[in-house]
Amino acid sequence: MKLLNAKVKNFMPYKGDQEIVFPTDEQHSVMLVFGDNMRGKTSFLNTIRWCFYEKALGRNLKPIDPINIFNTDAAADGDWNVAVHLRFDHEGHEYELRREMQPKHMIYQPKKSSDLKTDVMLRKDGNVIQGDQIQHEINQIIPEDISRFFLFDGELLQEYEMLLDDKDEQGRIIKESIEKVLGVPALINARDQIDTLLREARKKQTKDSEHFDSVRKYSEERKVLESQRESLDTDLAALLEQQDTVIGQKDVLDREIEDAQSILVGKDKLDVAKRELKQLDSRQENLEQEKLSLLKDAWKDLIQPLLHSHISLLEVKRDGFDSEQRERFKIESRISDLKSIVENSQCPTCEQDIADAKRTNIASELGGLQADLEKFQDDITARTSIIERISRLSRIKTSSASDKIPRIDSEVREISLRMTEIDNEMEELERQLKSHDTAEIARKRSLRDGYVKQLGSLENNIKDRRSAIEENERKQEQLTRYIELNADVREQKSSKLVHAYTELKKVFSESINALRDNLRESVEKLATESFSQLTTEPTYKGLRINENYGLTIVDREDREVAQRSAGAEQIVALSLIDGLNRTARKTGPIIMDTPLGRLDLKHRKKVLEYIPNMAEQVILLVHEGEIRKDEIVDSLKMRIGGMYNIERVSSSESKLNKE
Amino acid sequence: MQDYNEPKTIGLTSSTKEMLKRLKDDGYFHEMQDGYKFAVGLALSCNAIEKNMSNSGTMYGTGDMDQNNDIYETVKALRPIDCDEPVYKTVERLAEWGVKELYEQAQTGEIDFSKLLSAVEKSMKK
Repeated sequence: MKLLNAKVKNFMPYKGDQEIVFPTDEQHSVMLVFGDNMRGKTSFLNTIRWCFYEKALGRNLKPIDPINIFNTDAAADGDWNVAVHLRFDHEGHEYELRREMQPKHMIYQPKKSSDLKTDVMLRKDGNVIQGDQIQHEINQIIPEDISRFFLFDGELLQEYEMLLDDKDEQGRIIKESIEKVLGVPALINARDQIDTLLREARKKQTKDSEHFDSVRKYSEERKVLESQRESLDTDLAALLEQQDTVIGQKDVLDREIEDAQSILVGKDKLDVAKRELKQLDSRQENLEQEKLSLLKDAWKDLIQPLLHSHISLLEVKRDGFDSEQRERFKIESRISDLKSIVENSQCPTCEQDIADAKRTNIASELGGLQADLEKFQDDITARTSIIERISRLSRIKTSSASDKIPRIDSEVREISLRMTEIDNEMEELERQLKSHDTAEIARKRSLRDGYVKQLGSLENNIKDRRSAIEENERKQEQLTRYIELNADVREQKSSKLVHAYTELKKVFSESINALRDNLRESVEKLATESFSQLTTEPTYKGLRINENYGLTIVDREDREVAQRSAGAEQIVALSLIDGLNRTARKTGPIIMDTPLGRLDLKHRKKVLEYIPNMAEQVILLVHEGEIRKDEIVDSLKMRIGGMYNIERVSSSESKLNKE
Repeated sequence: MQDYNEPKTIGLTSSTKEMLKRLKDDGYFHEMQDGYKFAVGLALSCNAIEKNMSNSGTMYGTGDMDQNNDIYETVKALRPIDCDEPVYKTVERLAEWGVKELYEQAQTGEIDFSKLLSAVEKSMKK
């Protein structure tokens, strides 16, 4: 069977009409669909599952309520129509399967799943298949019971680890579902029906043996045991029914709590956002206050350039005065010398007399210098005034406003942007939280805890009843032997029937064991084949299967490896899935969601090399943390027949883009 | 030292005073006095002044507002040499122009103090 193409409309995040074409070339049979978390990889897997089986599964394989399948944006626009149209080939026939869901007649705003109706149409080579035959036809091609082996969520591989624990109830449930898939229940039902016939025959035998004195005692005892057995069977049936009910109730709560979990994460995010907003608000307020405080003296910064140039001018003037003062000192010194010459008529250096003509010249020079000196009088006051002004103006220093205010403004702008972002995030989160009551979630958790306790106690009671039934059966068989010691009783028809049914039951019990052994052997062999190609550890020889289909790694010395890493666990689980898939069916596609999540790089490489061999058509839904587009291993690259990217448009809308 | 004929109080015209109050109320300044001083500095840095100022009202005592005489000294130094009015009269005219300018900027968007101050910063670095 090969998928050809899928057309999807308004299915979960896929708003409007979108199409995907699957690779059909045998040499290029792998398709990669990239998408970040929460973009719609699991929803993509669900489009296929829903189209085939009218079921969409959430985390932990819990069914998604049909009302939640509609794209919320499309529904808000009034477009209440979900459709998936699949084309596929199977054994030379071409099939077209179309499933569509919409509100029932006269319902315009559906609120619950009962407001919806689903229509399905299947064409085989262009001929319409009758409605009541459609699901049967689908199950012939791609049986729902084994869908978990080819439509699987890699994040759920962990559940297969529970198979390793013989005592784990969850392990028992998975074992039962594996056996159901592999066909064991047919034999089990046959054995159980023979057991019913055996018990009827024993009752008759007991009644018949009452007529014989030698065995009456035993028949009385067996009568009591039969009555006890009936009561034990009734008890067990009631307990199993109760267990089913409690499991169902717990599952519903698990689902609701799980849904609420994302809401609680949203609430935590909202609380964090609120705290950040408060901190930012307070920081912004502090910055505004700091800015206001800086603005008190910011006027000084504004006038600094002017002030600087003014002071520079004053300094030039002051320097002018200083050079004049030096000149004045020189003149004063000359005046003093000339005065001395004029008064003494003698040279102060050589002490020779000065001629009169010379004295007259000196007197004249002295007069001129004294006149020059008088000019300086007023300028000294002016110089003092300039120096005082320079001193006063130099006191007016720049504040730090021009340096700090731009930085404050820049930080305030960044804070405002972040606050707007947070406001938007909060609006979105509040919208999501609006319909959830956190107190109600807490109540459900407590209720779920109660169910878990109740299940524990039920499991113990069931175990007790089962061992009591075994003990009762053992005693009854013993009494049958005692009763049949009487030759007359042996000749009774009832005894012959007891004998025949006992033998038949044995045959069926042994057949069940033989079939189980064969299936386990096949699964072990195929899983070991996969494992040997997937493991990176050369000392591992293979896998050994237990009663529950749990697989243990075996090393070259044939010893079981007790401790194994999370990556090895996933490899083992993947090998088991592959083994089960190949035991249950021969052909068909595999669609894997996030299969490489917990693997280290070496295991990842091995798995990617192996994956193309797992089926005729492999569709991998991955995020770039699992496979980097630019680092796809060559062996896989050669087999790729198509690549798509799930692009986020909004929190409620994604688009499938072909790469 | 101030001249003996300097006024003892300064202010703004009533309409400009109202503008300054609005600026303070809108959170641009902590006190009106801070805005008043900033307006004086802005006018000086822009080499602008209110040419014809009608009667101003009293807002501050010069001794209180200009305790260290920094404004007085600055304006005295930076105003045109031929100005023969008392320095605080010039201060009033500068503040009048500056407040109007700031108010206009606030009306057309927001007062960008960073821009006003960075222009100063740049011219200082030149």
